[in-house]
Amino acid sequence: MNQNKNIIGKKNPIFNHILKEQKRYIFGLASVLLFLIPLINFFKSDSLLIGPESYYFISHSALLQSLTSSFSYEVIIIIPIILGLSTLYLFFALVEQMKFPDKLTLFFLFLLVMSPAFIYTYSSLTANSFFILFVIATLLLIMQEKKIFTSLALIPLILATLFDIFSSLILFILLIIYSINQQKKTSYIYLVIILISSLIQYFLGQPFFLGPFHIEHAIPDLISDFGGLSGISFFAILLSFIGIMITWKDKELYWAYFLIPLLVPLYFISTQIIFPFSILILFFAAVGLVKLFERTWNLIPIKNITFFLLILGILFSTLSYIDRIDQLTPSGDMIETLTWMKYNTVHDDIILSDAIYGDYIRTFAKREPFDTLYEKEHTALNEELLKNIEINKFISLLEEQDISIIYIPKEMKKIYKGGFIILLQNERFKLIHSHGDYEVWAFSSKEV
Amino acid sequence: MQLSRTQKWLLAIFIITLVTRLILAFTVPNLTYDSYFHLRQVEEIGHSSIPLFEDPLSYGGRTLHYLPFFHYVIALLNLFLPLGLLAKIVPNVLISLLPFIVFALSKKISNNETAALFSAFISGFLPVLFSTNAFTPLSLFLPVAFFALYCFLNIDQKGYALYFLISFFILTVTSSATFLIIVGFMIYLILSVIEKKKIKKPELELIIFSVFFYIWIQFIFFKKVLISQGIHFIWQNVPTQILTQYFPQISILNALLLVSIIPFLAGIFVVYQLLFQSQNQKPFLFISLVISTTLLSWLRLIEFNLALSFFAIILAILFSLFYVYMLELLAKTKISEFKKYLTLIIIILLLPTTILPSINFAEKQNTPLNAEIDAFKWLNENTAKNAKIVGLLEEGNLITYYSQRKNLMDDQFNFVENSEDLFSDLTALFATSFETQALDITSQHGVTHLVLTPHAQRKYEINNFRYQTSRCFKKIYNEETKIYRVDCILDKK
Repeated sequence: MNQNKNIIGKKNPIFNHILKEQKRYIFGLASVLLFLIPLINFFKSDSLLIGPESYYFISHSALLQSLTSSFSYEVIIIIPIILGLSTLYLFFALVEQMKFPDKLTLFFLFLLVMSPAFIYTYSSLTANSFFILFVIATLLLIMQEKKIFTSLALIPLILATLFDIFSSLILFILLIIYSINQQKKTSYIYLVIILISSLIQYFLGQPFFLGPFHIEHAIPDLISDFGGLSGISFFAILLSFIGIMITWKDKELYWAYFLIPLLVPLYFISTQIIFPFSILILFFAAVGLVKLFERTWNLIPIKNITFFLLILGILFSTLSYIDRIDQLTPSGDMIETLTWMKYNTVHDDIILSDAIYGDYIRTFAKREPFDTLYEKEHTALNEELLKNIEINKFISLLEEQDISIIYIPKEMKKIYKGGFIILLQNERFKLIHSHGDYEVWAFSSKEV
Repeated sequence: MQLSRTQKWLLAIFIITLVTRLILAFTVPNLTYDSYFHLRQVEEIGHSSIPLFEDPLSYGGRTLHYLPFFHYVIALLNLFLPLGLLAKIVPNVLISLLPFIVFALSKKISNNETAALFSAFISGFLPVLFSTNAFTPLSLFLPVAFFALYCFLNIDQKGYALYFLISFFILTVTSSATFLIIVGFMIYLILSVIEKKKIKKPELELIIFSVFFYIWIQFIFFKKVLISQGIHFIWQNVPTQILTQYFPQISILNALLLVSIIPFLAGIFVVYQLLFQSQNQKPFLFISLVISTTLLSWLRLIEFNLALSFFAIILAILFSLFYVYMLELLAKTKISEFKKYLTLIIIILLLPTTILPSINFAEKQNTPLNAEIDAFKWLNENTAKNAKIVGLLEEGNLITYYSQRKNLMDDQFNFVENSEDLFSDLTALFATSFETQALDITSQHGVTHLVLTPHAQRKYEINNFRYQTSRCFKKIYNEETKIYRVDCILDKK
């Protein structure tokens, strides 16, 4: 009798309809969310691309730079959206191939698409968005019977190893898990190629993790409700705990358990891996959700209310993330100020600012920042400069480092109000431009 | 209706508790300092029907979020009775209901009415709960929390699931301290798994529901705080200088005094017995709550006063098991005839260790003097509407409630960006000897008046501000409390 009332049972006509049409609904949902973000930013006159990582790629990729010089850099927003939808498409093909239970697929993809990690990854240019696409494409091609496809798998496989060492490691492990899980002998060539590619990159100086592109905080970066850059809903985290506890001894899921002890410590080293980590957590969350609501409850109304609460909670996290999306985007005022620098400062000027603005300076002002978050050469010196309150030391450091321009966004004014900001009253500093709460100061060196 | 002997005793405990509390509440003048924040919120709900989430006076104007159920209930009652009377009666009536709930819970776990009566009596006279002049949501939270636990333990019986849902809803919209119960539930599950206790299905279902519901409500009310402060919202943005006041290290002596020595020792003994020696699984939930209270208090995640109150009530409940254990122990010994004197001995031990410390605690409550209240009322009539007044941190709520003027700071720290700097400035205004430093602070924050209450005079051991000169700080009220008008502005240029 209880089964008849199962909210996610096949006898529930609404749920059954959603289950059958899940591809359409998931694509629809993802499309709405991914197009909504640039639309919001457009109406707020902010940059369409969110997140600092986008600007790292724009400032470092010749291809993207030529694209932005031909069109507006805003055109690039189409790339992550296409990547997101393509990844979903390939994912559906992959789960069909792997004969995943359809309920699990539906809830996993619902949780994934609704997660701020997904929204962030596919509303900005990120290494993760390319990496996940290449991984799924590799797995999909390897699973095909025809040899031409398995040979073609080498292309996405090599591409997937080009981002950082961590990506190669994950791909390597996934291929091993796949071959054990499917009891198929995967060609050693794949593994050897990954190893060779990783070694080459290692000797070329590729980092273990790309980035960071923002100041990392493990908890907020994981739980979006605590104000992180992306992350997932707190409800999803709780569901994943339930999922882990319920399926602890499930032999079919051992591969997922194998990934937990690998990804958890790595996440605490670099939150840059949040998207692959989120995928794992959301997988367990989906397992937890399905198992929790498939079981027979004694208190049926409580079951329905709990399910409703969960969906509302996840919706709440998504909406609350969208609500603050403009905080993750360079504002119109910031872009105006940096663009002003591009036309009104000398090409070889070095710009002093907080390290987090490094790639914005490179992208919009086309000038060299003194420090960025991922280049550690000047990090200590940059910090010393910004926290300095001794004018002579400050000036001599600026002269030593050939710094002639200081870019001060509104956040910096707050953070360093007790630091270098008070020194700007000296006659050798001059406010040369200000727009909104953003300022550009020039420092005149002694020689001039 | 004929009352049984036990029911008569229980009723007597309730009446004695209530009468004692009310006598003390009306004897001690005024309410505790933090009560005035809640009074103001109730008045606002009475006027506008919505809580004062955008407060124009606190910190000179700020956004504030809190759970308003308690304030709505009082605002509703305020339609029939004056707020001043309600503020003294309602919290004491609510806390006095605890013996009934404690009796029911103790009887449930001990199956002994005499033992349950002792527990009820102890809960009525716990010193830590004898803040008779405190008008805070804690007075609603505690009885409802223990009622919810009673419903949880009786979940198999018809109707109790609904009662649990209602009481849990009230808890989540009354105080974030419901977290204590959520963590208790989690520990209960873990302990049950370790001890191989079969968890009832409805229990598990209610726990899952409670966790999701609690988090959902917190997200709705505190979304902005969570986003702006992240995980630090748990510590309520309390300035580090006064963090120890909110989350002090637990001193055994303090705990003994506030929880009362007999239930404390008995409780520790019972917890030890249940965890390591006995197979009795009935009180598992309470053991879990003891662990959760201790853990959260140790991690400074809940306020000391709340943790101790919760802890004390659980110990009172566990005392019933101690009594039963003592009866069983005596029955097994050669002095079994001594058993009949056990009740008498316990009464003799309990009376001086509960009632006297409770009354003593109530008499020493931290409340403002009438003379201080008069000064704050005087400010309302004799200062400009946009005046900004400085008093002690705890007097911030008196400034907004009685003077209806802006304060520099009060004890609601959430959303305040620079609470630590503000607290340093506030302290400096009372402690500094330099006029320029004082003027720098008053000019920076737009302070127009300074209040020096007898309470502040004792705290800083001063009779007047050390830097005070008649040119810049004119004394405009000179009673026990002194009020100064700031006549100078420091121009940094």
